[in-house]
Amino acid sequence: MTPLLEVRKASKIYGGGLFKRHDKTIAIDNLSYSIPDEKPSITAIAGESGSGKTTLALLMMGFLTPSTGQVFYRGRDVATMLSAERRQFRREVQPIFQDPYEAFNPFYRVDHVLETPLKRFGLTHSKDEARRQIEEALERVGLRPNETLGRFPHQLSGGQQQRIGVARALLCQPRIIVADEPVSMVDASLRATILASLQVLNRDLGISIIYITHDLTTAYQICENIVVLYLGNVAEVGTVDRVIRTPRHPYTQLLVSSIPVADRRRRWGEDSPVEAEATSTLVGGSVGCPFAPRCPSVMDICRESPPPLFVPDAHRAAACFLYRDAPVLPTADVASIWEKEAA
Amino acid sequence: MSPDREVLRVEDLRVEYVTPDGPIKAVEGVSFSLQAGQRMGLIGESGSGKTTLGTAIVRLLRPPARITSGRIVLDGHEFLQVGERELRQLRMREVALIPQAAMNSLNPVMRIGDQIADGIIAHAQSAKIPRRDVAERVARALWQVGLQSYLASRYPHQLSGGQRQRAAMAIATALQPKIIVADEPTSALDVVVQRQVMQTLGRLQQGLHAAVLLIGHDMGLVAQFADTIGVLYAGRLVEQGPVEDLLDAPRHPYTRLLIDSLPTLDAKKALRGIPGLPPSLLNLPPGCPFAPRCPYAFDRCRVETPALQPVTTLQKAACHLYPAHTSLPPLPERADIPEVVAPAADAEVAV
Repeated sequence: MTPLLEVRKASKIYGGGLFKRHDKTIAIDNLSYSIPDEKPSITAIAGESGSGKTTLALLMMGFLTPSTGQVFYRGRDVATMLSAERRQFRREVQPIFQDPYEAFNPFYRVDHVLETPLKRFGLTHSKDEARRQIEEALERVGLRPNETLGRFPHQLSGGQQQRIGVARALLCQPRIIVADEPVSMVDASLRATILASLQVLNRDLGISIIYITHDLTTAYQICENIVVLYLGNVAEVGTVDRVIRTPRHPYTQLLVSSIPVADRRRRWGEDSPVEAEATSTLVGGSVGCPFAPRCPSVMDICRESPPPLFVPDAHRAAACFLYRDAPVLPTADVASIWEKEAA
Repeated sequence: MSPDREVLRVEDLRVEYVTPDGPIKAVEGVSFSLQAGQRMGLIGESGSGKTTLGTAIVRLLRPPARITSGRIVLDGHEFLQVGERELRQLRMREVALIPQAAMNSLNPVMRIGDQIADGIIAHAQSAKIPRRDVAERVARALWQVGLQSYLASRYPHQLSGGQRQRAAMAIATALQPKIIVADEPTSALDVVVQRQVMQTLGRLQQGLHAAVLLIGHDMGLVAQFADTIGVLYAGRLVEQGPVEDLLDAPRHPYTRLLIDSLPTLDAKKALRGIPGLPPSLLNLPPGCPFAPRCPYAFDRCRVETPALQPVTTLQKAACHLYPAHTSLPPLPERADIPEVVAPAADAEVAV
């Protein structure tokens, strides 16, 4: 069956213009990923700054065109879609942005932001119906319509604004929501409500969620699956229970061990021998594993060729030669690691 | 130097922001003290007054903010009484601030070493210190934060984010202060770098035997670093105690709900936040500022503001449940607590 959304062998290369021919940055390196049509999923794409996670999100939403490879929606190449198809794609794949304080026009009441998609996509027939749809969407994300409508963005808290953003996406009747760090600007006590509303959309309305984040703890709490990116490459992929609770890739292990836990019995260990930051971005022509320069378990082979995704146990794959005795993921599509479970 | 010598005492400190609509009471009667070598975390959400408090302690508040009453005693000096000249000498030497987003506060057109030397030269006792001495002290300041001395000749853009953050820490601590106020020193850094920067701050603190006030909103981060935690809500200290006690048995309902709202890696659980919103600090109604969101609130909470009182020997809480109770009772069934919508023009108190 055709996947709902498919990223096929996509790369995105920035820079390398006329005067900086050798100054290329590979943000996404030959990545394949798909979201199935039949079973709604909730997947985290995790990584540090510079890992390419936002680039991948922009590729999925068609806001960027891949340098090589393609993105398909319902089997049609997004880059060459006709206008009617493109409209459907735009409606069915909805973004939620990082900073709610900057996502709204301060001169319009929040009603405007909610009415526009209904009108734009012709999803409503009358004013009353629009009003009912808006109220329903607000209630779904835990807001009270009479306390929200008619207000300006600055009269609402960041958490409320972000939930308006979720309600707006919801009004488009989407199949996929791509949320790029939706709670990083919001206080801890309000984070939970926003993340819970994403879970509700997934569970009750069958919307697939792509949750882009650097925060593995929230990813673990709300997602089923996770893709860990490192310099544009997939380091590890699988169910969150496998990848976060028992990470296999040295990079994922480093990430998980660096999470500050609110528990004194689990203190951070001593300084890890690993360099804290990637000293370079991935440039064209590099060979070997992108994590090799920082990896505590690096071997000679790691500097010679990039590791494929090995499958050391069920529902998880790690791009690391430590697991070279395990079978290699048979397909390029990294989502196949958890799709087997559904089949 | 005795380990429990008090280096900072804050007494009933009040800070207001003057606005056309009236004063916003950003810090309201906060008292605490810090001993040499002690690490205290100050946790609160945006608008809780934590940055205002930190800035007040180094006397760097700018109008419309003003300290209206209270005392700050810095290693024996009445810090609110000293004149501008003495103030400039005490700052950096006694107390240093690592500001929020410090890595972006570096001067982009000045070498790192020169930026560190600036503070050293400005605070020199004699009119002129030999250039070699300055260079040596710059190198030591960099070494204290785990940076190599060759970075002194680099410009900020040549450093990584974590290095820039540590360079900013080197500038703040070049004069080996007794108290370091660190305001969210790792916001905007990746988790691995964050851990490295916090470990650097820890080593720096131990080397100087300084007291650290770590301001933050991330309970996990503060718990990893600090010995004691103060919880700030609506400009008031609502709970204070050793990290272990406070995490294991929080006494203030706000602290309890804040801890419950943290996602963990242990078990998947239903995510729940704290209903409602922090109150506007303009015309705060009488009573406990947390009462409208508090599942335990009873009549007295809405009329009388609770004072911070000892609950155990080491833990204090500002809540009317005490002294009638010794610990926080089990959470009542959460009735539908109305979502409070922020009144107009409240937005966020400038921090």
